[in-house]
Amino acid sequence: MNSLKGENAMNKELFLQQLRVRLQYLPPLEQQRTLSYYEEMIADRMEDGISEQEAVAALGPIENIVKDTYEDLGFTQLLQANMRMNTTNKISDKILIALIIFITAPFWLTFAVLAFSILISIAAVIFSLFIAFVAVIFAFGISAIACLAAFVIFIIHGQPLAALFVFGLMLVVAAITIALAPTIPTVGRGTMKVVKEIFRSAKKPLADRVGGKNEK
Amino acid sequence: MDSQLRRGLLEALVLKVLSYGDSYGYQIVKDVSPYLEITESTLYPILRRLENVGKLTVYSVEHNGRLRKYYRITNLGHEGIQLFVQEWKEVTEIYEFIKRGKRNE
Repeated sequence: MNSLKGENAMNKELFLQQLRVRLQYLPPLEQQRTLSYYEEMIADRMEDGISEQEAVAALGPIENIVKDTYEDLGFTQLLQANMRMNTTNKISDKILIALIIFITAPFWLTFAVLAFSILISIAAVIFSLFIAFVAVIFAFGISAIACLAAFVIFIIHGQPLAALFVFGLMLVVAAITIALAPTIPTVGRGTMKVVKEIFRSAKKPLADRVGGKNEK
Repeated sequence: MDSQLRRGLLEALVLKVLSYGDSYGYQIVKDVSPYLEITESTLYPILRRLENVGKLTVYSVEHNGRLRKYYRITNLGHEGIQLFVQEWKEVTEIYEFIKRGKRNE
């Protein structure tokens, strides 16, 4: 006995149809792949003995699938998807739109370039902070070597006090280098993560727009 | 759970499951579920991402008159598992420390 209520009991064809509509702004290949994937999942569950409605229900709300799919696109693909959302099929509309785009180019181009350069600048600042970090550690390392050289020279010139001072300095600087140098890979990975996060959150409004409910 | 953290864990879990042998979507969901909640819609982006970075490859096999996609881990995927284990060694040490009752336990 099917325990699901009427509204929630959706069959496979209806589900895939709805999914196809919501995913219409994907590139055709991605669309096909995604639909095949979910079709396969439903079929596998049904093979396991699960009913069609339960198999579809097990995929979760269609909103989540749509959201996850669009949010996972790369920046350029997401932009293309948004552009696909805007296109119309009437030639007259297309000409009109092309004209408007051309005329208003100075405005939206400026805005687009500005938005993108802000994003890139933020990433660049973060990267240069990381490079500065590495450079400082490197400088400490070089200083340690210079201190060692100075130490040797002072010993040769018979200046034990100066040699001792420089030796102490070398130990401190070397200690700092040895302590910080191993952190470089971790800091590097952390830097990459931060930059990725920034780009990811910039993608979110685009993903929401193209994934939102539409009755087309 | 933090979504980035969950994603990282799921990627490692999927790779590990595949390291035991090629598998397909639904089977992967079944194998990963005991360890971390996963649905088809969370698995799909993960499989695609792993494929994009070359940690797994995809091929199709005919099954009951339809095509079923199988996933196979690559060398890069194996390296990914190693990296995960290394990174999380530190995490477990921190966890052990925080879990301690008294200071010197």
